[in-house]
Amino acid sequence: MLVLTRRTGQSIIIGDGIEVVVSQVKGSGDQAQVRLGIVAPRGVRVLRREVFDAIVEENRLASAAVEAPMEKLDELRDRM
Amino acid sequence: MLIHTTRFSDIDVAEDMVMRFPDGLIGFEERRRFALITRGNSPFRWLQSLDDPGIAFVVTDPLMFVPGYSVSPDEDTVAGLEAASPADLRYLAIAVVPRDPSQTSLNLQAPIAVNHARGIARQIVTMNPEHPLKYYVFQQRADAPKRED
Repeated sequence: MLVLTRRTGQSIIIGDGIEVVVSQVKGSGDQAQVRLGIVAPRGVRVLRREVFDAIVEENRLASAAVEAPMEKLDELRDRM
Repeated sequence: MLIHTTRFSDIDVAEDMVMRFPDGLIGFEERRRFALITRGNSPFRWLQSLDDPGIAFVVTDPLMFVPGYSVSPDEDTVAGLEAASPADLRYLAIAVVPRDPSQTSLNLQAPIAVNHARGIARQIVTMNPEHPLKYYVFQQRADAPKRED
C-alpha cells in the first residue's frame, strides 16, 4: 500500500480526475478524525468502506435467489 | 431471445425486458446483462443474469410496499442512464429471501434505477436514513409508527 503524508488543504491525485483533499484533521490517537473532500468524474462511485461492504454482502445474499419460494412470497403479500 | 437459466431452464425473454448494467451490480461488476422476468400479477419479479445462469435476484417495485418511496438521483446518475430527467427513471428493490420467507427484506438503501425506455440500469446508493439496507417487508404493522422520531 502506498502511504503518503499530507497537511490540511493538501491533496493527492488518483488516475484521471480523482482528487482527494484533506480538509480537516482533528483529535489524536484513537480519536483522530480526518475530513476528506473528494472530486471524482461522473460515474465514479464514492462510498464509505463499511457502506460498500454491507451492500456487497446484501447483494451476495440476494443473488442466491434461484431457490426462493416465490409462491410463498405471493401468499405473504396477499395476506398484508 | 432464448436464454438459459438454472431456475427456469431455457426461457424466451422479450428483447425489451433485457437490461444493460454498465457497472454491473455492486460486488457483481462483471455481470452486465440481465433479463427482468415478470411472474403473472405478482409484484415479485426475477432479475436473471444473462451471463451466468446461476445468478438471479428477486426484485420488486418498492412503491408496492412503501408508499411514497422516493430517491433523488443526482445529475450524473440521470445522465449515466441516458435519461433526460429523473422522472424517466423507475426503481427496483432487491429482496433477500431467507429460509423463512416471512423474514424477507428489501434493500431500500441501494435500489436499482432503471430507464426502461433505454434498457439501461444501475444500482445506486441513497444516504436517506429512512431507506434501510434491510426493510423487513412482511414484518410491518399497520399500527406501528412509520419511524422513530
